[in-house]
Amino acid sequence: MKLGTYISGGVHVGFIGWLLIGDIFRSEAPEPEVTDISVISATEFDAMFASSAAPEIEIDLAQMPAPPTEDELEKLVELSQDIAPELSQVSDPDLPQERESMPDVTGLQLLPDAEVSLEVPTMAMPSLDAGPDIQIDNSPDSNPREAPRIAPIPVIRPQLDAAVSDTVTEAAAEAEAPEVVEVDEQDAAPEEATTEIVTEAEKPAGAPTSVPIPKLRPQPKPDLAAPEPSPEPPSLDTTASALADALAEAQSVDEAPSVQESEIPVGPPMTFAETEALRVAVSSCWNTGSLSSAALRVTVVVGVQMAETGKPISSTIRLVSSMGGDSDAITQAYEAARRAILRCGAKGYDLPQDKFGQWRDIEMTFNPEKMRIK
Amino acid sequence: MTRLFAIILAVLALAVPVSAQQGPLRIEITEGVIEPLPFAAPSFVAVNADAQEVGADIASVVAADLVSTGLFRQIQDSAFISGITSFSSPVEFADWKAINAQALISGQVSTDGNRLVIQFRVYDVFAGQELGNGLQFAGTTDGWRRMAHKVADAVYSRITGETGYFDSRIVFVSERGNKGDRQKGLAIMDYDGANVQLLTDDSSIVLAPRFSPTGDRVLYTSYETGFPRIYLLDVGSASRRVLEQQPGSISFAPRFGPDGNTVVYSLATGGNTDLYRMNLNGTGQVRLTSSPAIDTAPSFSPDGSQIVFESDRSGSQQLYVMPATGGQAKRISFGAGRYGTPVWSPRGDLIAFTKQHKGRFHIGVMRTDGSEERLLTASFLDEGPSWSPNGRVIMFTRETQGSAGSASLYSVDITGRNLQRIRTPYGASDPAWSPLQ
Repeated sequence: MKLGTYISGGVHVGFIGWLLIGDIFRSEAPEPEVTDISVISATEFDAMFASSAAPEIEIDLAQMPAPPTEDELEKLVELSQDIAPELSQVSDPDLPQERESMPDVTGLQLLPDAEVSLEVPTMAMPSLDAGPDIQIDNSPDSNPREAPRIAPIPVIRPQLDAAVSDTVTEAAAEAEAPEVVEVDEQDAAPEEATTEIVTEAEKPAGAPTSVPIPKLRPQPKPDLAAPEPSPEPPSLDTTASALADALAEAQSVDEAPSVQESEIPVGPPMTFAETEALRVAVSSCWNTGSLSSAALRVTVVVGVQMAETGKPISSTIRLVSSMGGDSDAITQAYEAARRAILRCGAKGYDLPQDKFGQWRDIEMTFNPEKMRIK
Repeated sequence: MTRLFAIILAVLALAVPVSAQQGPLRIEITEGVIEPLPFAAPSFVAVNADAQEVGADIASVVAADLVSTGLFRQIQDSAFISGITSFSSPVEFADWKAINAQALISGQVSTDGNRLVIQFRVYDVFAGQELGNGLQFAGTTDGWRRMAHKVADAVYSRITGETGYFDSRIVFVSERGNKGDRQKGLAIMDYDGANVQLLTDDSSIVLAPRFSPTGDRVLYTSYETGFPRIYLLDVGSASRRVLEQQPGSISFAPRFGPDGNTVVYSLATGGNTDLYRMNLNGTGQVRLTSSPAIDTAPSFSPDGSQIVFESDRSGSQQLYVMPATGGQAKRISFGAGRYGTPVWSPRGDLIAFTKQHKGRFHIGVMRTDGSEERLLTASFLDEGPSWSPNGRVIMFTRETQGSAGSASLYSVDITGRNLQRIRTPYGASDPAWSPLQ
C-alpha cells in the first residue's frame, strides 16, 4: 500500500515538475510594428498647415450680375423645359428593336380646353298643328315594352283582283281646311327665372349669358284605378283641341265647390312632404320681380279655399293679415300673392284627395324677406 | 350603417304627419321667382277711322315702355286668342289666361280734329279684376307719344306700386366728330331717345347739364368765354344767362337744390377748389368747405338737409356727406379704389357714384352711410350716373376704348339687371334725368 502511494506521489511530483520546468506554458510575444518618425519643430508645423488653408475670395457686388427677376426665372424654366437633354445614342444590338418604332412625341402639344357651350338648348315647343298628340308615359313605374318583331295581328293580304262596283261614286270634294289659329307658344310660355341677381360688375368674364331652364316639375300620376274614359276620340285638329283645353282649364279655376260638408274626407293630417310640395308649387309662381321695394317689405297672409280638384277658388282668396308697409304696398304684395296662388293652381295642386278636409282651407304667408333688393 | 340610419330617419320625417291641425292648413312661402311679368297690350280700339293708326302706335309705345324696364314681357298679338274689339265689352279672361297673360291693357282712342282722347283700363287677368279705375287723357294729336308715356306710367304704377318714369326727358351733351376734336352741344330728348332737340350750338365745350326740380330749367358749365362758367338755360325758350362770374375764379359742377332756388357748385380760386352755395338770382353766396383739397361734384339729399360730394382731402378721391349749411364732413366711402360724381337718389335711400378700381370704371350704389356698396356695371369707362325720377333706374355715360371710341348713354336697374343702351343720333354723354312732367 505504501509502495503504491509512493509511486503515485513520485509520478505526480515528476509530472508537475516537468510542466513547470519544461516550458510547456511559455508563449512567444509577437514582434511590435516599428514606424519611422521624425521630429519637426513648431515653426515647421505652422508652415505646413498654413499652406492647406482655404484661399480668401474678394467679392465685388457691383460687378455681380443682377439676380434674375420672376419673369426671367419663368423664361429660364421655360427654356430649360424646352431644351431636351442630349442623350448619346446607344447602339446596342441587344436592345429590342421596338424602341426605334416608338412614336415621336416631341411635337405633341396640349390640346386646348374644348369649348363647352354653357347655353342649355331650349327645347322647341311643338307646333300645335304638327300632328297628333303622342302620349308618352314617363312614370317611373312604367316598364318599357319590347317592340314586337313580328306584328301580333296578321295582316290581311290585299286582294289582287279588286272587284269593280256597279254604282258610281262621286269623287270626294276636298275638305275645307279648318281655320288654324296660330298660337305663339314661345310668347305664352313663361321665361326662365332666377332668384339670384348678378350685376354686370359681378359677372365673371365668360360667364354664361343664359339661365338654365328649370326642369319641368313632375306631373301628378294619373289615377290608374279609375281611368276616365275619353269622351271623344282625339281630334285631328290639335290646334283647336289645345285651345279648348287651355280655355277649359282657365275657366275651371273659378268653379265653385260642389262637395257637401258631410262628404268631405278628412283623412290623417298632412305630412311634411305633402305640405312642402304645395309650398314649392306656389313658390314657383310667386313673382316678385315687378314689385316695388316698398311692397317687398310687406308680409301678407292670404287665405284661400280649395276645390276638391286641388284648384283654388278665386272668389275665396282674401287678405287675412299683413305686416309692414302702407296700404298701397300691402295691396301690391297681396295681388302678387293672389296671382301666384291662381297661376300655379290653374291645373290643380298635387294634394292628397283622401285628406281634402285637411287642405280645403289654406292660409299662405308670403314673406319676401329673402327676395328684397339687397 | 350610420348613413343608412340617417336616410331612414329622413324618410320617416317626411312621412310623419304634421302635428294635429287646427283650422286651416298653414304654409309659409319665403322664396319666389324674379321674372318679367307677361302682359298683353292689344291695339287700342279706334272710335273713329282717323284714330286707327294712332291707336296701334299708342299701344306700341306703352308696350315698349313697360318692356324697357325689364320687369314686363309683352305677349305678341299673334298669340292672342281673342282681341279687344270693344272697350266697353266684358273681358274674356279665360282667353287671356290661356296664353298666360297676367296683365291686360285695354284702351280706346278717338280723334276730333287735332284733339286726341285716350281711355284705358288695366286688368289682373288671373284675378279677373280691374286694377284701379279706368283713366282718360286728352291732348293734341301731336302729343300722342307723350300721352302714351303717361298711360305707361299709370300701368306701371298700378302693377308695381311705384311711380313710373316714362313721361320724362333727358338733357345731355351731344358729341360729334373724332375723339380728339369733338364738338359738343346741349341736347334734350324723351327718356327713350325719341324727339332729340339741340339746345345750344356746338361752337364751345359744354359740360354736366343738370335739370331743375321742375324740369323747365337747366344748369350747365360752358367754356364759351374760354373759362368754365355756370349758365342757366330755360328749356322752353332756350334763352340763357351766366349764373356765376367772379374775376380770377373758375366755377363748375353746379346742381340745383330741391327747392329749385338754391344752387350748389364748385369754385376754384387761387388753386384751391371748394364748395359754395347761392341763390338762383346770384345772391346769398355761402362757402361750404374750406379745405386745401379739391372738393367738387356736390349733390343735395332730397330733403335738402345734406350734401354729398367728392374730395381728395384724405389723399385719394372719396365721398363725403356734410350738412347743407356746411360744417363737419363725414367720409362714407372706404372701399378700394377712387370714388366720384356722387348723386343722391330721389328716394333718399341710396347714393349712386362712379368708382375707379384696378383700371376699370364702375357705376355703383351705396347706402347714405356708405354701407351696402354694390357695383352695377364694369367697363373701360363708365361715369356720371343720373337717377330716374322714381329712383329705380340709373343712366350714365359709357365710353369705348381706342381712338375710334365713342360715348353713349346707358341705363341700368338698381338691381344691376336690364343694362340697356339708349339710342341717340350722335355720341352722347353727361345725361341728366328730368323729373316726371
